[in-house]
Amino acid sequence: MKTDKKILKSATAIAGALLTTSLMAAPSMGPDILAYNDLGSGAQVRSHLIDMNSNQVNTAEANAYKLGELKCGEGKCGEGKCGEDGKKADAKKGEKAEAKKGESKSAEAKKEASKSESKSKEAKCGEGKCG
Amino acid sequence: MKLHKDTEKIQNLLGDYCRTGVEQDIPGITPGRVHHYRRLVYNVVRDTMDTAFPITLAALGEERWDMLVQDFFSGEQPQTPQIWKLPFEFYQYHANQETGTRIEKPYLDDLLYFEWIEIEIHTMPDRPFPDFSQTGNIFKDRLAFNPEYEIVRLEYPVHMHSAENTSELKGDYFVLVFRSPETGNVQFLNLSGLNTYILTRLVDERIALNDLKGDIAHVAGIESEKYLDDALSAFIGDLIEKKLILGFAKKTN
Repeated sequence: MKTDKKILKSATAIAGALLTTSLMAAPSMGPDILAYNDLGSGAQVRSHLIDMNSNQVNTAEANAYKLGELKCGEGKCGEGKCGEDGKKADAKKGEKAEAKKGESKSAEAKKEASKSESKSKEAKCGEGKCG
Repeated sequence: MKLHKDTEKIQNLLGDYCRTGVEQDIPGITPGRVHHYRRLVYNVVRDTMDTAFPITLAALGEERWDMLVQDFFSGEQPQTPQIWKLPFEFYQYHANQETGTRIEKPYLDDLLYFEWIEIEIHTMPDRPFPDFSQTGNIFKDRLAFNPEYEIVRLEYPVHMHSAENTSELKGDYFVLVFRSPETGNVQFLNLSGLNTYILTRLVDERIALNDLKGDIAHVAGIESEKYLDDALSAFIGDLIEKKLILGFAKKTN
């Protein structure tokens, strides 16, 4: 089964894996060949990667939003806020967005702080966030 | 006690409805209320998956993630009676269905597995610890390893980068995941191929580092013995500090 391949059970398996990489065939890789990184505890890794992946999604959404705004430049939005007023409105919008971002970040931080080290849990009732 | 045939049939019909949402004529059901069962059961499954795979949820976004959970819930009949093992079935289901390929997220299998392994290592039964002593020589004596670890091989470096950025970085990545004997917390290390080779040989062949140094120098093309000694000393010393290596194996082992 495809799902059995990920855990390395023996040196034979790893030797096989390494032979397929360029590692063995690179005699002068230098000091980094023994490098390793401490990624931290489960909670640290998770928090870091969630932030990274959320930022990626947010950037993609922001780019989509920008593209949407370009179309608005055609004068079809009907908001009556183009020109100077529009700029002010944009600035306010920006402030608001920042504030919201701040809020959501602090909310996320709170959420993160309340998260326990482990992800394992028992959930039984099905009504929202019990357990 | 064996269930009456009719009861069993009704339970299966209700179970099928809860999973698929396809309405059927279920005897004894009050019309207009049965959907609450489906909602409640789905909430448990969705909440379990959200908690087990928060990184995948962040990477895919709410909508696509919900599709994956719905797909699993209606397409698979979960076999485990233990809810904490359900995420593994979720991973298996999507790996076997090749969902990652279908939705053009080739890293999906790796990311789901990477998130699952934390739960598995955290929750797995205790493994017997070897007898060890605190004093010894890291090169001459056999090292005693904390048995509660796994080394996982990934094709995409989802443990270090934003998932979407890993699509271009396909290769061989090794992650050491172990349970700290002091805190029970799961710890992660990103290893190079050579580190992985060293650790697996030390454990499998139960040999001292000195017996392996020649091979290491050969496969890695390291000519300076001093460099190799310093690098190994730092690596093994750090693993001792992190309690992946408990100490030195007693001679009787």
